[in-house]
Amino acid sequence: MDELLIDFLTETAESIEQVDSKLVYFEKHPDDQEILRHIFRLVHTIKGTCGFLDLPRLEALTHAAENLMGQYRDGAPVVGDGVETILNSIDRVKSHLDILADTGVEPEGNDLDLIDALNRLAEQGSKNDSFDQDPLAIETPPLDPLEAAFLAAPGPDDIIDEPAVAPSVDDVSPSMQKPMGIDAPNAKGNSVNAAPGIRVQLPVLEGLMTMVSELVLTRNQLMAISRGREESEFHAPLQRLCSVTAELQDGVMKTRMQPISAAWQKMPRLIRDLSKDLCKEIVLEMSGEDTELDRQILEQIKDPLTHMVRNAADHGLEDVHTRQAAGKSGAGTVRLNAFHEGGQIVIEIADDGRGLDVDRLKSKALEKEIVSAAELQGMTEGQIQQLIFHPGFSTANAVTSVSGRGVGMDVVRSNVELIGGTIDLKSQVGVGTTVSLKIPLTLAIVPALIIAVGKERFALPQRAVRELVRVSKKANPVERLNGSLVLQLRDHLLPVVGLSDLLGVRPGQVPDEGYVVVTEIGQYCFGLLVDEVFHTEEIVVKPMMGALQGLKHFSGTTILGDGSVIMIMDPSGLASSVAQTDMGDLARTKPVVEEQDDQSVLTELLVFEARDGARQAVPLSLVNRLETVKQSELELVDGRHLLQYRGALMPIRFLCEQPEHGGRKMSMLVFEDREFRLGMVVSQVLDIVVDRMDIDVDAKQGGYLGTAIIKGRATEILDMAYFMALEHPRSLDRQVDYIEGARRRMLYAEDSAFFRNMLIPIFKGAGFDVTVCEDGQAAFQILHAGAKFDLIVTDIEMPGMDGFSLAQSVGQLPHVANTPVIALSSYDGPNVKTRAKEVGLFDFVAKGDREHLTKAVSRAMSMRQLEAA
Amino acid sequence: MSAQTSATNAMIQLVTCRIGGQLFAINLEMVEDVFKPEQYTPIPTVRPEIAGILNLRGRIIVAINTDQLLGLPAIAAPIVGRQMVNIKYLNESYGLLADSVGDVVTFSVDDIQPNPINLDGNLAIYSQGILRLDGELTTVLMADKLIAKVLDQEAA
Repeated sequence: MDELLIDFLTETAESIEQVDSKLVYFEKHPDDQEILRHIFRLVHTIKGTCGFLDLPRLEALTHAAENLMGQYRDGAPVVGDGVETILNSIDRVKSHLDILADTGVEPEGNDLDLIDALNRLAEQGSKNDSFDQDPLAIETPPLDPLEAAFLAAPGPDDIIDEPAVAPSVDDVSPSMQKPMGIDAPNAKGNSVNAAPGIRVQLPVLEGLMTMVSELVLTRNQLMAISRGREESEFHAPLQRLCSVTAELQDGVMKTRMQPISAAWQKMPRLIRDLSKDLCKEIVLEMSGEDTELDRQILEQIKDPLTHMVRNAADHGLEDVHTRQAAGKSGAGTVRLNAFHEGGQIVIEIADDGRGLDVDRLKSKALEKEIVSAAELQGMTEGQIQQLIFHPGFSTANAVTSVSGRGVGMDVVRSNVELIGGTIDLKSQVGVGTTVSLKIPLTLAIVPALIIAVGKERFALPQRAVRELVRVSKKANPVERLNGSLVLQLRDHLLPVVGLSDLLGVRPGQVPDEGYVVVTEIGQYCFGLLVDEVFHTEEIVVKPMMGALQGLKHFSGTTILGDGSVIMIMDPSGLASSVAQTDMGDLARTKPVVEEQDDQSVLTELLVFEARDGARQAVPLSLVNRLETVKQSELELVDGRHLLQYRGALMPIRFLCEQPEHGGRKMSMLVFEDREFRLGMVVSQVLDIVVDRMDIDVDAKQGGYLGTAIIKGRATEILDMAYFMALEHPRSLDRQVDYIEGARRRMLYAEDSAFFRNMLIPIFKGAGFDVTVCEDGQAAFQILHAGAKFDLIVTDIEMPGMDGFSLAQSVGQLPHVANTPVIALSSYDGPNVKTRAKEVGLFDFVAKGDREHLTKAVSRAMSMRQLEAA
Repeated sequence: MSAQTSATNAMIQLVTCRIGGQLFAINLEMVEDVFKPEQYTPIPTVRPEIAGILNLRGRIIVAINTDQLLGLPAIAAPIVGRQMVNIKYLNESYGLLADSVGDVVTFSVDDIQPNPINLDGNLAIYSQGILRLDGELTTVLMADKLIAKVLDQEAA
């Protein structure tokens, strides 16, 4: 194809897109002269170039359109029909351009229908114009020289005079063609205030990118070599090479970047057409148009974006009456927003429409047999909303011309996931729906975690990795559940797949030690069991070789710094293998960790420094007082340190090194349990903090409940019951005395793992066989099934059935109605107390108040004995 | 490079190599490199014809177990230490593993005798014809067909 023609096509494609969106804007703001002149110039340029390139059909059409726009520019009142017709003409021009791009010649035939319509409108316009002068026309700013020249040209007027005659090349005088062709670039230069630039063919950029990738590789290799030799003279130049390479990489990346507005440009037009087709008033708001992303990615998200905007306008927004009835403004809003976040681009498509109707989704999902009724029961609202991404799911009742043509959100999702993005949806009934896409900045270079199974290393793209957990047979083991591997991750079971199993290396074996890479892909969250985890590295993604395509676990290859080639794992491929196994369902009901976090209780903790600067903490409520003590005050008796404290001997334990110098003051925490006291010497009391206490790592040694993250630092939590029992074996005996030997049965409902860990040993020590439930519902089920207990202890704040409801239900079950119920709560207020009385609680104890709790328990037991007697 | 080239004076240069104990020859035009792989990365779950991938001066090469593909007795020898004939196909590099690679020899196209009809089917589809080299029968391999076969199987 002629090079000029190719240039024309690319240039025109851009201008046409602009015209499209500008016209839509113009339709709403007919008095904006600036925008009108802009459009005029764009169309004018296209027309001029068409004449120059001898494209008569295009030229005639753009000429007629320009003509009408000239009228508007000169002050003729703008009628809706006019803009519509111009838009139609632009569409026609687009289709001609497509054919032109394919074949190199204009299509046969003519566009008399449109040209006639345009001319008729132009004629009306000019008539109106002559009768009543539009005030705008007077305010018209002076024309720029180009337009003046154009107006002076004889062309357009001739045609207005003879509207029936289709203009052809012959009609346009040569004097007009020439200046247009030459002026065209000028016109462009005037209109767009863009920085000067040159047009570079895409393959050149792609080639550049490949070269940079190679350079990055070579640099990595050099780095690997130099790592071994610190003193090398290569060190300094290598550093320079590093920074230059990094800059070059950034620079080349930038050339591939395009603002997202390139994908959004057609949205105003789309929304305009949609609002006409659907008879809804729709306002389009866009922000963050300047956000740039890789053009390759941009290309791939264009269609999903369009689809989602369509969806938002068609399904999301209600019609005017419904909106007004719901007390909203008649015009619905579709909002597009793009921004950077953590190395990713987030694109949001939001509407303020009716939101997703969860009940309808449910019935639809059941009808289409996507989920079973039982599965639905256990799903949260958010999970149900996610169902719209399921293949074969479409919420529209009727298929409209706009959407609901079988291509659903599942296609959108798979498109987005193809480029390593994720899609999320938030919806509130009556308020609207927001779909957000998270998309990587670029596909060419990605950060990846290098993992290994046996001797083989693999790269796992970092975007899929949520966290790393070290596992071993002894502590934190990966367990087998009916053949499937699972890991207890905090308070939920994470399905685990052995990478070695997936890849057929050593099938069936679980290593004694290893790592679980917690991987999250879309709705799937699963653990990948690997032998080794090395480091993260920016890897250059090399596409899969032809011979290797079709391997579903791998998405590409890369060369590491040491020169070896490794395979890049495809997280989606892994996820699909997981889904095929029995664990699929387990993985799909992704545990909603955040929600549980919100419900877990805030605890006041005393944080102190123990041996070797280790941070440890103990619930403040257990600490009786803080004292300072000198080593010289301690007495060593029978290998134990004792301190005379308040007229009695108190055993002392050291949680830190004993100071060499006896006179130094040491911090001591004093714990008290009835008449038993215990002093713990610590190296330093650090702070008192209020934080959630979710024990992440179970303890290796006695005396500790485990390790939790407290104010962002790993902190060991002391198990005071353990130390107490160690120093005062009688403290337990005494409790057993209360209940005269026989072991009692206790039902303990508590959702917080921490309090479970803390109180169960105490209850056990007090002579109870404790049956533990993690929520009220479970506890009720046990009771309902006929189990009897001597005492029920329940937390108040629990998800689902809370402590009050549980107590109430207990009262209604005849066989346990007399069982005393003690409730624990971290919240203590008059309302709670009243409520506690209402539901017939035996006692109400603040969490952590052990003394009160022990008393309550023994009182309850004495009562029970009395009753029995 | 097909068998129809029968102009009398046409000469071709061939790289000889031994695969599974047999002598083969590959048109030099198709051969990009001959080298000894120093390390390679096996790919789990891949078909047995593909031995792994390796890095040759920044290019990634797929190593092919040529013996497997040709239906020859498999060699137990490790990949590292064997030789590899590197063939470029559709802008990608494939390495045909060979026990050893010999000299480049020049022959007239006419010297290539057509495949005997009883030639093993597995071999016949890749064989352009048979040469007699120093008295030993040598199969002229159509390396591109060999690689096309590897690619094709993946598609299948």
